[in-house]
Amino acid sequence: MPTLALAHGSGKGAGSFFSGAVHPLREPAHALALMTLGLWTGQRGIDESHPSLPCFGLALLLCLRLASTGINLDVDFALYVAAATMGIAVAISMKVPTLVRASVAGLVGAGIGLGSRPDGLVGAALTPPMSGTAIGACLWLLNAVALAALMQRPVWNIGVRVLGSWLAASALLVMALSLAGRPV
Amino acid sequence: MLGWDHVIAMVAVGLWGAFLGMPAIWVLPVVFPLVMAFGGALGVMGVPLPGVEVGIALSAVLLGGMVAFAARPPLWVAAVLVASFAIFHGHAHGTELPQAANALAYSLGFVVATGLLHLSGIGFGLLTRWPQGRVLVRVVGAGIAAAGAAFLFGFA
Repeated sequence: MPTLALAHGSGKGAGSFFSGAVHPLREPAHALALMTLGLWTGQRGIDESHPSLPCFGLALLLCLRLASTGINLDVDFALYVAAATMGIAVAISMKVPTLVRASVAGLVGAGIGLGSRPDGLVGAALTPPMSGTAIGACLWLLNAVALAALMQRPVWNIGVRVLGSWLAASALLVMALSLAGRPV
Repeated sequence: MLGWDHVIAMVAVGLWGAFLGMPAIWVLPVVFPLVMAFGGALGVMGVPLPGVEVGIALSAVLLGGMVAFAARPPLWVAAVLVASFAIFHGHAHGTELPQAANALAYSLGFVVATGLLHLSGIGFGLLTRWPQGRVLVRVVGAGIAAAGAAFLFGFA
């Protein structure tokens, strides 16, 4: 029997919480923004990442709550722009004030939150997948931050910068595909 | 990765970066994918760019030649040269994107494949720490330039 094709539906065989948790990795804009934010945040070490992480988390939770009330914004393009910009910042190891970094982290969290409402669900049914998204997004971000923070030695730091350039390049390409009307 | 003109040029970027040493060894492989993505974006959006295949073949000739002649220009010159050619490579990839391709997978795949080719060039280029290695690297550079010329003049 044919069923509805849902952009944000559950994966086959997965519960809705788990689907929510992996959702940030299944959406190109969310995945690129999370990975580049993580590398950018962690590039200067764990101590410097402290203000950005709670800003991301709070904005994410707030905007997931807003999305659950029915607010539905397409912020993918903005997330691609953020990912490309942060990727370039990682590649050139750009120093920015902590306030700027934390603000960008908050904006990315807000974008991911607003773009993560599952299709076809209402009311209490939204809680498991959106809780999964909240926890999943934070965990994926922490992994990327830890990766960048651990790679502080000069040779390894070059690897982080190269990875940043790859992510920025990917974001630029996916952005172009999106603008050209290709399915992403 | 099956377009040999692309492959040899990617390897030449890594080779030249290793030949130039720090910081070129990582600057060139960072600049190339970024500018290539810009070229790819132009290709995807249908912006015409004349002489793409000539530009790609020429990139192999010039970058291979830089290694063969042990050219050591200032970093900014090397970066500008690499970036100029990256636009042609990216544009070719962008126009070749299959309609059915998964956008993120394609983008990541083509960027990562490019990076890995640079890495293979860098790895080989590290032989320059030995005198015989420097000769070998320059010979490979000459080979890349010759192959590029073959593509340029239609012999390959």
